[in-house]
Amino acid sequence: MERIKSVLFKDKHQTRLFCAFALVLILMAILVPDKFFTVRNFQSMATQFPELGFLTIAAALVLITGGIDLSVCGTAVLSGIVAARIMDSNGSSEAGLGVVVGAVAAALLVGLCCGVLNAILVARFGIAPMLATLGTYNLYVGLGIVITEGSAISKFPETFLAIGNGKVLGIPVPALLFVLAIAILGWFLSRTKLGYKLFVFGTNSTASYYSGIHNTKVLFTTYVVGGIVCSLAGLIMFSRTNSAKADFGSSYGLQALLVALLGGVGASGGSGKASGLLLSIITLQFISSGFNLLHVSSFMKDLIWGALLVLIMVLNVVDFKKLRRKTKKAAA
Amino acid sequence: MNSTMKKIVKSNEFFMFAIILVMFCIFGIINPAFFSVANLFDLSRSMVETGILALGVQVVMISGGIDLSFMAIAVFAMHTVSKYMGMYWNDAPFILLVLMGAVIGLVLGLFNSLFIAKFKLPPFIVTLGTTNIFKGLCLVFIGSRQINNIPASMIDFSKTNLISVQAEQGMANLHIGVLILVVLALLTSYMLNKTRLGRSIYCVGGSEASAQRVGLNTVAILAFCYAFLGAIAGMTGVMHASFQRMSNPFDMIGGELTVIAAVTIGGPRVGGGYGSTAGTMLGVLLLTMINNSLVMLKIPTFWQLAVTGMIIILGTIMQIYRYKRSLKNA
Repeated sequence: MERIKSVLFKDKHQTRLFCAFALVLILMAILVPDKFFTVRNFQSMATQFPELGFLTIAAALVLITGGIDLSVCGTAVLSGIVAARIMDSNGSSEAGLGVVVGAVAAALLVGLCCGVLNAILVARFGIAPMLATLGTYNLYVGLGIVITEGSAISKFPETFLAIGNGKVLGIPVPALLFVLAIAILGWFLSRTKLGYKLFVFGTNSTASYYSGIHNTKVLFTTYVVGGIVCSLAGLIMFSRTNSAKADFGSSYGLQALLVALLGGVGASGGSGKASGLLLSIITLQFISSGFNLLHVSSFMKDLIWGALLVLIMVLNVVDFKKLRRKTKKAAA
Repeated sequence: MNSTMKKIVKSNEFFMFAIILVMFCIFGIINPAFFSVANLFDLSRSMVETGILALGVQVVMISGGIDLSFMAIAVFAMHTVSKYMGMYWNDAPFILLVLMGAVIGLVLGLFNSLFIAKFKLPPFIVTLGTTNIFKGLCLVFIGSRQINNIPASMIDFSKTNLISVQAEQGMANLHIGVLILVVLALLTSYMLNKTRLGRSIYCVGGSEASAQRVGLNTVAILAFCYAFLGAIAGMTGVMHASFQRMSNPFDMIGGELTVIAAVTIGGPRVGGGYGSTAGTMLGVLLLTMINNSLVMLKIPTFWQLAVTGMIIILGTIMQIYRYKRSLKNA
């Protein structure tokens, strides 16, 4: 009985999120049906959300372990800039396919290294994840500034631009990559041994240690996978805008956390679903695109996002109290 | 060596002080201009804003919480006061403007504590949400344009100096803001160490459950911490606009992590229940000194952020190491 209740309680968040999603869709259908439900609008939305989406996946993975990763944006920017620098010094916009492949590989490698450094600080030195990643965030963005010397690198070869701007059967490439990533995440979290260990560790790291889980290994995998995912976000971000700058998307870091939390990833660790993340990022993209179409001040978006986050958290708590009262009554 | 001396030498603050002294000497040897009165005055002036904010952030961190929204609160207070007072009462006294900023900040801080202290929601998430709310409210309803028509007393404040000394080139000025920082630091330190409220904050940070068992009103204490930071942030906001001689709603936001970093280097642990005003001020001094001195050391300014990151990482590693060693010795 307890189990069914806990499942119901967890699903309630998803239900609420889905209601918010449906509400936004209905509002758009009433207010701007001719502009919102067009192929072009959906295509432009599908190019915009994946970069934040990838960062959200990385942020969510760390949140599930009970930590907080503030460095996601730093990792994305640094790895994107390394790729940009390689392409820039090897022929700029005339660089061949080999250079592009090399640059992308280098970016992924940088993402991996950033993840390893985070993991060393958190797992080996035992620094609180928030502080460790606060430091590495500054370090990564700082190194990005050093590499670019504070200015922007632009003009990338066509093959690289295809990552962020290309379309397959009318669907933008970033969206395809993101859907693939979410599918892999869902499979990883619910079907693999390591995914299960992640939840156990996030719920109670002492218990996971005594049940024979290699805690350090779990943390390393989380941060390294997170780092690689972040570097993908960086590549897409710079490919879409055809320029690379260190302060690009500096607000994405906290936004990614916000999206993950809205998507039902618990702040104290041990809970979260890939489907919740997908629903949350799409809802938020609908809201911000909708506001654009309605010509509402784009700052209204901040207000709504923040209010949504606080509201959903409060609803969760109020619900929790009701649930406890009911169980007490049942016990009596 | 007697035990008090031993205690002082072993303390985190002494360790920080030693590091700062060593760096101070190294900077001075590389560039003798570092020791000049003008530079020292400039350094203390640069500490003012981060320092005052850090005082508030430290109180919240000692209580075991975290607040990301203080910069948004500062901007909200800054922009509201600058806009409406600039429009309707241009020659209002400065002290009134600062008090207004503090009251606005206090209200927003109480809004935070409603969710954190009353509903027991995680402070990180609540303040992440309220950051967006405050920022959105300010930009949508107060205004998103830079305001140049700020009250005259704010501009006067930016020109008020405590001491002016004849230096090699022009005058070296010690800004009055430094005095405000010192007074606020002393008051905060007194509050944390000598009052019942202050000791209760440490108690709540150490263990909220135990604090409740011994009969402390934890809801009220936590509410005070966030309201205190809100008021401090509101005041700093008004001072920021005065220093800049204009109010730009896109200023300050994004700098919250730097202040948190400065506080963290100075001692408070994320768990709460630990930290001192002296340590916090030393942390602020260390970060400001490094950021301010890179130019004097002929290091290109684009290294600034990377160096800050390295200092935060090394600082926290060192603290963890010292903490573990103290556990072993005990």
